Amino acid sequence: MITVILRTAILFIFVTIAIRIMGKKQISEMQPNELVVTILLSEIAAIPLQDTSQPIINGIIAVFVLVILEIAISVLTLKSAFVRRLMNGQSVVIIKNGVIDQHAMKKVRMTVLDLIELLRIQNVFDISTVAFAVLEVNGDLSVLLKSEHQPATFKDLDKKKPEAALLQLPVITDGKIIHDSLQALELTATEVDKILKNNNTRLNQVFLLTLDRKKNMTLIKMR
Amino acid sequence: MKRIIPAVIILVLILTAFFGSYFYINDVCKTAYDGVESCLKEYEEHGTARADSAWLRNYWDEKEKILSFFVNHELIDKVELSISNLELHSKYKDNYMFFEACDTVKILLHQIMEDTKLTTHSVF
Repeated sequence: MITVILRTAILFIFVTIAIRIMGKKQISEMQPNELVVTILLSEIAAIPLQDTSQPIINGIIAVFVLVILEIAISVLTLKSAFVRRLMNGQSVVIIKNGVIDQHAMKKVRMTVLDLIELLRIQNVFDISTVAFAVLEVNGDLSVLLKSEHQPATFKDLDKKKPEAALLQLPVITDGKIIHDSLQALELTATEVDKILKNNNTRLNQVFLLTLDRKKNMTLIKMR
Repeated sequence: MKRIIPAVIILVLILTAFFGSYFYINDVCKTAYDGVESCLKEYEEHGTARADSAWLRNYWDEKEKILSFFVNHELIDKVELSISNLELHSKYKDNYMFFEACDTVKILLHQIMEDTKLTTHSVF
């Protein structure tokens, strides 16, 4: 039993190191080679865990060989367009000026229903409003609406630019002051006390207090 | 570059582990193989091989700890069991079983050495 516990801990440490070296990415953002490595990593790490007669170093070496291969491929992908195309494929234009490219859809083996679903995810419900829709190598669909269907900006409306949005940071949570936030907002604890006094509240009564640099605030009291 | 340096370091470590284990396993197995041969010689000359088989058992006991880092543990245990049998059959002068145990140890040692080699058989 203790052997299994130790072997699991050792493999956990090595697989974590391996994943840290590879860099973090969401599964949906992974390129094909990265996905293959991720799937293989878990499988390979499980073998010495299940079969205690296998030397653990076989699993560790296999994990790190995968990491080296992944890094080698990513370096080659950076250096060579050919390798990049070979390993990751290419993005494909699916819709051009509101017209679906059926040939491209056959090439990427995508049905119209799949395309409509991906468009809906992008808040597009009318294909004719699309100037360009590009199927990216990770399977996401990037959509550029025709200029007449794009949301109006302040520039389009010829209006004065609004003030830049200020980031509100949590200053007090559960009755405790977060000093990192105070530092970021260039505030002192005395100023926070003053704000609390103005609102007839004590520190231990505050569930959440958020502030921005202009001292705009959101105060939620504890119940 | 941030990822290349650790990758190169790991590659060097892997190659060191590979060559280190290759030479260590071959050295240990060859010595053990020679030990079996001297057991056979001693048995043929004196009708017993207790001294050499005891040396072989001690040698394997000492080396199996490091070997277990690189070699399948079941294989190591099989060699250990066969060496113990070899000592036992030598003690009771059971010719047939003694020679069989010697052959088993030699085959197992040969298999361990083969597993370290890069061959089409081992790859595919």
